[in-house]
Order: sequence, then structure tokens, then C-alpha cells
Amino acid sequence: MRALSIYILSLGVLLITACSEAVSNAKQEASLPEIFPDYTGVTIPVGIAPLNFCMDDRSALMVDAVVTDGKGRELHGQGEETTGFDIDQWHDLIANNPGDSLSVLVSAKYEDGWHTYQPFTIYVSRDAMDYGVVYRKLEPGYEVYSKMGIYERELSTFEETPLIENTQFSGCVNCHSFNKCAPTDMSLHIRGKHGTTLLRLDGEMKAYNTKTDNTMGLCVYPYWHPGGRYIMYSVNTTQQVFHVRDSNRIEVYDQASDLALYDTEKNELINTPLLARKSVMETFPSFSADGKTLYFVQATAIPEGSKELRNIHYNLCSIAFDSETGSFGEKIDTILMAESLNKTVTMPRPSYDGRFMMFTMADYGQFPIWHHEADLYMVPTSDLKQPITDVEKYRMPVVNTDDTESFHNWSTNSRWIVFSSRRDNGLFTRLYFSHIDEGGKDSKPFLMPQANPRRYYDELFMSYNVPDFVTAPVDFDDIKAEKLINSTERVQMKGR
Amino acid sequence: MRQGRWVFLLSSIIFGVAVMLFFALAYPHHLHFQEQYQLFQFNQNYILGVLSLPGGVADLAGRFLTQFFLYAWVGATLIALVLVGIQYLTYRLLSQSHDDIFANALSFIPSILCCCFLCDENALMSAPVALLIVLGGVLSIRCIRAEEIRQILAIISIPIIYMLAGAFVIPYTLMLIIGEIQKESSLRVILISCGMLLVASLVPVIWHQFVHCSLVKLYVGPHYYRIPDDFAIWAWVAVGINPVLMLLSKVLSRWNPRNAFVVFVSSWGVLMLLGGMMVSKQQSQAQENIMAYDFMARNALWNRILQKAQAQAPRNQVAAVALNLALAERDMLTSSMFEFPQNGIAGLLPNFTSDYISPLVTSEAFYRLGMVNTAQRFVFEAQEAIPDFQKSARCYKRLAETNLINGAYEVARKYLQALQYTLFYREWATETMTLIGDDKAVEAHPEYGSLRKMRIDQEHFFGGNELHQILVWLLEANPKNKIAFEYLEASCMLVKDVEKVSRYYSYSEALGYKEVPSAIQQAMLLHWSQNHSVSDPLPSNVQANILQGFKNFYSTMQAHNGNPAPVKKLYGNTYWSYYYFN
Repeated sequence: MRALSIYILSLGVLLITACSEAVSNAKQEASLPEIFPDYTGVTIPVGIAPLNFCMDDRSALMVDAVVTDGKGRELHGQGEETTGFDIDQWHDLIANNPGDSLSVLVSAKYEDGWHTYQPFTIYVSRDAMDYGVVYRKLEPGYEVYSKMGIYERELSTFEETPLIENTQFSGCVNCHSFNKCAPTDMSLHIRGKHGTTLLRLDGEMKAYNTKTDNTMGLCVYPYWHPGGRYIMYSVNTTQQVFHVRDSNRIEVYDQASDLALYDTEKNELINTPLLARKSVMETFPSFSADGKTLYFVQATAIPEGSKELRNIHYNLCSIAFDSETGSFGEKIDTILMAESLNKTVTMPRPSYDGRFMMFTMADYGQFPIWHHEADLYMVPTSDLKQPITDVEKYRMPVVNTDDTESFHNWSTNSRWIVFSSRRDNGLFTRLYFSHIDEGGKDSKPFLMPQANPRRYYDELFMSYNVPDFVTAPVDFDDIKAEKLINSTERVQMKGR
Repeated sequence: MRQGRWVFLLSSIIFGVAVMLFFALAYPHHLHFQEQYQLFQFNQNYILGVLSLPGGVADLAGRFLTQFFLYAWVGATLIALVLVGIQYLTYRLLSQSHDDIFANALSFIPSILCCCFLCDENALMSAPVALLIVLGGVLSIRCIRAEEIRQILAIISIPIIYMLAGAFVIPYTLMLIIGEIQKESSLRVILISCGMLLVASLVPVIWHQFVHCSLVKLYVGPHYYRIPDDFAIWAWVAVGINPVLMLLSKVLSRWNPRNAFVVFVSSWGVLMLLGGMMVSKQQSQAQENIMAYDFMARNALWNRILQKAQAQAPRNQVAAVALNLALAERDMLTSSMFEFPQNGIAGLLPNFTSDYISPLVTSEAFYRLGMVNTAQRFVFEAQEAIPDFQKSARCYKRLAETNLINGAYEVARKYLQALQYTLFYREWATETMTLIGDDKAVEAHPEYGSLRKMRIDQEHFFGGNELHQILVWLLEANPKNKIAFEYLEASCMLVKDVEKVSRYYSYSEALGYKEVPSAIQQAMLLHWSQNHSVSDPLPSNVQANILQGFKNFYSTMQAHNGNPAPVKKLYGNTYWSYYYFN
């Protein structure tokens, strides 16, 4: 038995050494390595999964990386496709270096031998990130949808868990929303034959019919009031047209939209005339951190059938909200008159600590994910008290690229953002994370880590959609959800 | 029956050859159709993804076989082999002796039923493969002589068969139970049988806890039929009949006819006849016709399309779109389109419909017009509409092309990389990969380069109702885009806007027409007649024979008081007939 153990151990050692190749006679390069994903100079949280990478140049035969901290501790990774860092050793190394930096020395083997590049730095932040992110994954299509689902990704590992997929029913899963990243309260739309809104309140899930006599259609984009009692929904009549030449493929636009407040205690969907005007389209609601202000965007409705979509410009607005009475103020303040800049604002998202407001700005319309020019902007909350005149100073200097940056959400400590970007290939949306420091400075974002990022992202033909942080596993009962969706029983929201 | 084995072998060979000939000669485009709605990749993630659902092995094997359907003869041969395999295993299941004539005759029934199943364009090969696995499983268990071990293994095999073959585990269990009861019908065997049924009925429920698939699908099999909500009736009958055949075979085995050879040949003959009639009823030549047009349009077989349409006028939208495209490719659209039945703009460039069939052929037309983005959309959406969520090699290929033309090289790379994992598209993908990032090479490419130049040079929205305007923009971007001109004039004629036919004819100047195409002349004359008196001079580009034809048409129409039938009989191939009577 002992002999067998020794034999197995020897074999294991042999295999390990056989798989690893010493970097020898390497040519020293004066440049930083070009790697995919580009993790050079990024800031990461303690607890993030290993940042495995490969050489950006697909002709590399092998990649080798040595990560070293200030105390001389080392982590070595090597592989034909990716660095393949040991996950436990990685976590040990970064856990010992919060607020410090790591140096990464990369060597790559090509047909002419090894090349060693100048080391790059990874900064380890003291600010923690939440447990995971929840997102929808679907193909970046036009009107028809294939397989899709809502997935949860644990950020300290590479583990992705489907919460629900449309293989369980006939239809599509749509916007999901949590109350400040807490997975206990959740809103999830299902469209199609079994269309409904699933609401999980304090762990109990029910299927709702959100169409009332007072609203023009089903509820669409949700945002929870921090108190947990209310959810603000937009109600949208959406259309699509297609670009015949542009690299932006599709234009999704509203013909009409309103906002409606759902009171979870009374099961009432409350229509407020000021937020449901016919001549104006209101959408993308969000509450301030203290819950006293509702932010949203609004634009002048275009005539029915009009294709003057480039004239649709949404302005950033706000209105006071009283959570005691569930009522809104009597006037709407326009914070950013984007139409005067020939721009459009979408998806306002206040940070949970009340310091900042982040939104996406594009040339026109309300669906920036299909706009290559869409970028993220971040405004200190203190600057929202007056109308914004010079918006360009709020354009995030580091996170944006020439391609789409769009849907974004804050971590619970408001020190991290997750956002969607098409920077990698112009079509398939990927998730990036960026650190926001005390002064509101954004760090170079990093692509969501994968065990073998090249292979994973090459073979992934789906886009990430509506990412949001969660503080703990969602623990979603998909079998119950499937039963609820496939049944005809719906709790009818009462209109008011 | 002395010659038993040879006769049995011969009957199987005849059956196999008949199946092969049927699919290769009478039903080849059904095989092409099947192939184009999947993307079999020799890739770990793809294979594990397929295997992760119950019945994954049958599904994977079915998909593996289906990739060969790109070549109809190979596909037909594979189907024949699978069906003969089912027949052979069924015979082994039913036979009570070496020359059991009834078992042999009956053994053809599941294969015939499978053949009926495969006549349906949404039938997937995983069902016959699953039946093979089920039969193999039953025979393997039956081989075990030790009773207790056999019964224990039978119970253990149920979840394994469910994993391998999927929902056919219920008939599998019934076959095992009948096999046991035929050996011994004691209380113990009945209790074991109940236990087996319980296991078989619970296995999907247990799987339901781990896979994201509805319970109903787990019970009826998510891989047997392309439309997940539908029930693969013929496949279930093919597998479900086996327990019945086991009982019947046992009963018939007691009969020992004097002339076994005659009895076998006649019973086999009757079965074949009945089978042939059933297959004949199940098969759809109308669907085969649609698929033929789609296949020819996909492969740019324009002359074959014209020959086929001349032999038999197309009667559906897909065929009409393919035919009009073929006419345009041969510069005959505006001269000959009314020699074939036309059903308005829907037969030329129909609006998008959320299905996985018709947008593909329409996308071929948009692609060849230079409306690359629209072609891309139609192909993408057709692929998204595949009901069982598979991807399509045909669509990936076209999406790689449209992205190359548009200069979206990283997106094109993704599609090409996926195609490099396939058996039959690998070589093309590797060759095409050399164009990535190389604008000059794309522009010099005979197809992609010209399509890049043909695209509209300004950005516009297309919601489906702006077709005329889009075609005008195409022509303005590239005045030598002859196919766009043909489509523009054809679309105006189809919507009976003769004023625009005359107006847009000015775009023909750069296109080198020696004379005005005849249908356009007919439309111009019609337009002229609506706005001029008889004494006005005729349009200069209308030929005398067209004018005479118009006069005759009018006088015939007046003679019959506008009754369409006699006028159509004489002038059904003119635009005037379309204008007045469609």
C-alpha cells in the first residue's frame, strides 16, 4: 500500500513537472505584455477569482506568469492557453496584500523561443466587492430569442449557476432586479405565452399580472425603493427598427412610456399623473440612496409612426418622493437637459452611499447597448442640486472606450461598479468591473475573470445583460418559479 | 424454414435499400433541411453541453449523424443503416427461435414507424438512435441468465438508459417487465416490475431537480422533436409498439405453419406494402418542394430553380422568393416574372416572420441585393427561431460573411472559429479566416468585395415598409446594381404602382439594357393608358408587339365583361393580367 502511495505521488510529481516548462534563454522585451484580458494596471478586490490571462497574440505557444507581492511571495502560473493560477494560492496572495500592489512578470513562448516582458502591476483594493453578480445571458439578437436565462456568478470562483432558463417554459426572461443587492427581494419579468412578473418578497414568490386598467401595459424596468415597500416600474410600449448601413444594428425605442409605483403591502400599482403624461415618455426610474428622490429620464414623445428617432433625447429628471405616504412631489426638476446637447441620458443609477449618480449617455434614444458611442458618466450627488451645464467633465475618464459602455450597477459599498461593454468585439457584451475610490476616481476596469478566458469568451455567443451585484447566493427556487410561470394563476395588481 | 437466415438477411437488405433510395431520391432536401438547423462541433463544451441533459448520448449521436445529411446520399445511407439496425435488434428481441418467421416479419414494424417519423421535417435523428439504445439495453439485460442479478441490473439500468436515451425509458422498462413476466409470472416478479415502473417514473422527477428543463419535457424527451412543446408521436409509437410486439410474437410463435417461407414472404410483403403506404401518406412533397427551392437558393443554383419552376410553377412563398431571386440573378425578373404566378411583394421580399424557414431564403435575396445588414438580421433571427435552440452551420457561415463585408472582423472571427470545429465547414472557415482584418483582401474578394461596394452609403432605418426607398438608395449608392434595379421595378409592379415603374426606369441608364424589359413595357403602357387619350403619342420605348398585345388584352377583357378566367387563360403571363386580376 505504501509502495503504491509512493508510486502515485511520484507519478503526480512527474506529471506536474512534465506539464511545466522552465522559461529559459528568454529574450527581454522592453514593452509590457499584450495579454487577453488586459489586466495590466487594473485594481481588484480581495476575494476576486484568479485573473487568468493568455497572450493577446494567438500565435503564442505558451504563457508563463509569476505574480509577486511586496514581501517576495510568489505565485506561478503557466499553460498553453492560459496562466491557470491555483485558486487557493491566488486567494492567499491577494488576501495578504489589501491596499498593496502585485507585480506580474509575463513570459511567452513563440516559435523562436521565450520572450519576457516588462512586469505590470495589479492593485489590490481594501474595498470589498459583493458575493457575486446576477445577469441575463442571451444572444445579441433583434426580435426573436433563443435560449437564455438568468445566471448567478460567484465572484471569488468561476462558478456560474443558472437561476432560471427559458428551457423551463415557453417565453423569455427579462429584467431582474434586487433591492440594493439583497437577494431576498427580487423582481423578474417573463415575457411570451406565460408572461408574468415574479416577485419574491421576504423569500415568498408569487406570479403577478401587472397590467391594470390605469396603466398602458405591463411593467418593464423596475427599481426598488430602499425601504423595500415600493417598487417603481416603467410601463413601456416598445418598437424596433433596423439600421441598413450603420454598425449599430438595431434601434429599440418607446412609442409611449410612463412610470408607476407598486406598493407591495397593498398590492397596488399607483399611477401618478405627473409621471404618466401622454406627451412625455418617462422611463428608467431609480431612487436616491435615502429614498427621498426619484430619478428618471424623460423625452418628448414622437408622433406615432415617425422614424425621426434621432430626435428622441431623454433628459435626466427628478421628483421628490415621500415613502410615508407613497406620494410624489408636485414638480419635476430637470437635472440634465441632454436634448440641448443633442444627447440622451439613460439608466440613472445613484450609488447606495449617496455620493454619486451614474448614467449612460448616447446620441439619441433609450437603448444605449446598441449604440457604439454610448459612454458612462458619473456626477457627484452634490452637483445634482443645480442643472448640469458642462456634462463632459463628468464623463468617466478611464472606464470608457470608443465602443459601447452601458448598463451599470453599484456594489453595496458603492466602491465598485459592474457595467456592460462591447469593447472586445463590438457586438457581444461582456462584464467589466471598476473601482471607484473615495474621491470618485475610476480605475482601469477588468473583464470578469474566467478559468480560461480566451476559450470561454471565444466560445460564448451570448451577451451579458442587466448585471447587478448580490450580497449572497440568490437561492432561487427555479422549480417553484417554473410551476408559477407555467400555471395560469396570477395575482392581479390593483390599479390606482 | 431451411433458408431462414438468408431470407431474413435479404429482407433486411431490401428494406434498407428501399429506405436509402427513398431518402436519397424522393426526400433529399429534407436531409439538407435537417443539416442546416444544427452545428455539430468537435468541441468539449459543445459535447458536454449536449450530454448534460437526459438522453444526451442519443442526442449527440443523432446530431453526429445529421451533420452528414449535407450530402443526401450519405445521409440516406446512414438512415437506412440505423433503421436496419433497429429492425435487427427488434428481431433479436422478438425471436423465440433461430428461424422465427413471425418475429422477423414483425421486427420491421418499428423501423417502418421510424421511417414515418423521419418524414416529418422536425423529426430528429436522436429518436431512432434512442430506440437503438433502448433495444440494445433490453437485449443486454436479457442476456444475463442469473435471475436475481438480471433483475437487479434491470432496475439499475433504468436511470442509465434514461441518461443515455432519455424519455424512452418508460417503454424500455415495459419491455424489461414483459421479458421478466414471460419468463416467470410470480408475485415476486410482479413486485419487482412495480418497482421498476416506479423507478422509471421517478427518474425524470429526480433529474428535474438538477437540470433546467421543464418536467413535461423530461417525460416526453427534449431531443426527439425540434419543437419542444410538441410530442414526437411517431417516434413514441415506434418505441411503444415493442412491448406489444413482444406479446404478439410470443403468441404467434406457437403457430408452426407448414409452408413457413410462403407465410414469411407474404406477411413481410404485406408489411412492406402497408409501410410504403404509411410513408407515402406521411411524406410531404409540398414541403420537399419548399426545401428544394431553399437548397437551390442557398447554393446559388439559379438555372436549376428556373428549370424547376418551368416544370411546375411554384405555389408557396419560399419558392416564389427563390424563383424571383433566380430570375433577377439571370436578368430576367422584369421581363419574365409574370410568366410565373406572383403573389405580391410577399413573393419578392417578404417582411420578417418569426420562423426559422422563410427568413433564410429572403435573406439570400437581401444579401445579393447588397442589403447586408438586413440579410444579417434575417439570418440571425432565423437561427434564433430554431425551436430547440440549436445553432445552424448555414447561418454561422452567412453571419461570418456579413460581418466580414461590414468589416466587423472580431465578430466574423468568432463565427469562423466555431465553424473550424465542424467536419464539413472547417476548410472553408480556415480559408476565410485569412481575410480577417485585411480590408484589401476583402475588397478584392469577388463576392464580399462587390457586396461591400453595393451597400447603401448612408444610414437609414428599415422597419419593413420602406422597401422602395431602400432600393432607390441602393441604386443611388451603386448605379450598376442591376439586381437592385430589377427588384425596384418588380416591387413597384407587384404593388401596382405603374407610375413609379415608369419613373424609376430612369435608373436603368447605367445598366446596359438593350431594350426595355417586357414586363416594364407592359407596366409603362398601362400607366400611359391611364393618363393619356388614344390620340396622344405612345411612349417611345414600347414595342409594337407589346402595344398590339395590350390592345388585344383590352378587347378580350371587354368582350368577356371583365370575367378573369378567359382573359387569364390567354394573357395570364402578362403584367396586365396580374394588375387587373390579382
